Amino acid sequence: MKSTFTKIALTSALIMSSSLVASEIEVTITNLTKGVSFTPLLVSAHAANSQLFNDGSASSANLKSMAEGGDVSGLLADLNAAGANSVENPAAGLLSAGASTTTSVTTTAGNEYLSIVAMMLPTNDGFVAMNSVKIPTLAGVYKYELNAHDAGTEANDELAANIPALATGSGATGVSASAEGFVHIHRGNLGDFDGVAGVSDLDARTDRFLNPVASVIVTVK
Amino acid sequence: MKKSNILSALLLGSIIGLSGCGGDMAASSSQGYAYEVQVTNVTAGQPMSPLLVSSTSFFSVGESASAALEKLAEGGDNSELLNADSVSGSKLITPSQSDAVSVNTLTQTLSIATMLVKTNDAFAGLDNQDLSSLALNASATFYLNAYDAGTEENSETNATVPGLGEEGYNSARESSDIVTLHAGIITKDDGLATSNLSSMEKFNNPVARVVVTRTK
Repeated sequence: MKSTFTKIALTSALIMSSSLVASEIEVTITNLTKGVSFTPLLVSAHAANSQLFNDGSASSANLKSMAEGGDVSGLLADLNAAGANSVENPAAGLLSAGASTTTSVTTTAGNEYLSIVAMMLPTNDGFVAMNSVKIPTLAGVYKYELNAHDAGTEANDELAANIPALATGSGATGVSASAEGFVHIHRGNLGDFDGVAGVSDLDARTDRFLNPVASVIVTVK
Repeated sequence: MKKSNILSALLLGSIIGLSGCGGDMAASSSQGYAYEVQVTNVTAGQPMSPLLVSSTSFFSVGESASAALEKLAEGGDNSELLNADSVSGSKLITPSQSDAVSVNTLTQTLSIATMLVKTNDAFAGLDNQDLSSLALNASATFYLNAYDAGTEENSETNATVPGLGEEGYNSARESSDIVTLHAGIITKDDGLATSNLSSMEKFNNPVARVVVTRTK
């Protein structure tokens, strides 16, 4: 049975090498929306236990900061502490509707999962996300579509005072009054047709979106 | 006004014994496959009716819904879809909550439906998902889109939406009468004056996450 043992040993060695060896990936993110901008993106290759959020569960404080204000520094610090390989702000600012950005990530041993997050403007606490997707180990080009999530930390009142930028209206009474309390798929902006009154400071004609809101092409080299 | 008794009972919190109605499926203990199916509601504000999880397909886009599916989609009543190939969930699944069922099957396929309760006839669906690449003890994640059963006009009124407390199932059919992806609800907040739904109940796909683990 010596040959069988050798085969098993070799197979194990191969499996281990594929998960432990560093790899280089190229990531291209395209904003697919008609009129929504993404705040500075955070792209990270990390271990399985560094997932940034889970739909149905409460948001972390650092996810909330990203989703409500576009501030990824807390999430980046969490990922750095966990030994992740991250790229901050690859688009050097906002990624506007229809625009793309490309970045490279060199992953070190154990960082086998890819996450991408950025706040969506104008929303209260909406964010685009790739949530801990296994990075393919075979060289090739892989395509993904990303959905809009809601951090559940802020009421979707759609008032300009509660949206950091790009809410063009004013004088609205507010859409929703309470936060949902858990991360989930964003139900979309409502908006209205009145720039100086109405329920929303967003414009229903320009600020709505449907999923998917982004496409991602991952090239494994 | 025929109320959906099952759904009304669930909405009042008195869950009746639906879980016992499920078939044990055709597979004997020595053959076939077994899967644990966990479904999480990822909407903002749409409760979901007790799951129907089946090893066989029971709806198809472009085709007319069966009367059994109509009862699920309009009233949250999955009882007529229960048979030897299917099992029921045990509870109403509110947003952020999950329910899990175990199914024994002779085939490596999975179909799922659960009503979006604050709609006329929307359901989250999975049709005939192939599980043949799923190894023993491995898991796979799927996301469900919202379908329109096409059996009832989307009037969004109290009188027709079970989640608003009134009629669920009605045997009359709307004119189009085919299953399609759902276009979303409009709501009174969006200018449909006759709607009794609010923006909180609006939804965007996907509406549910499904984690399937093969246990046999």
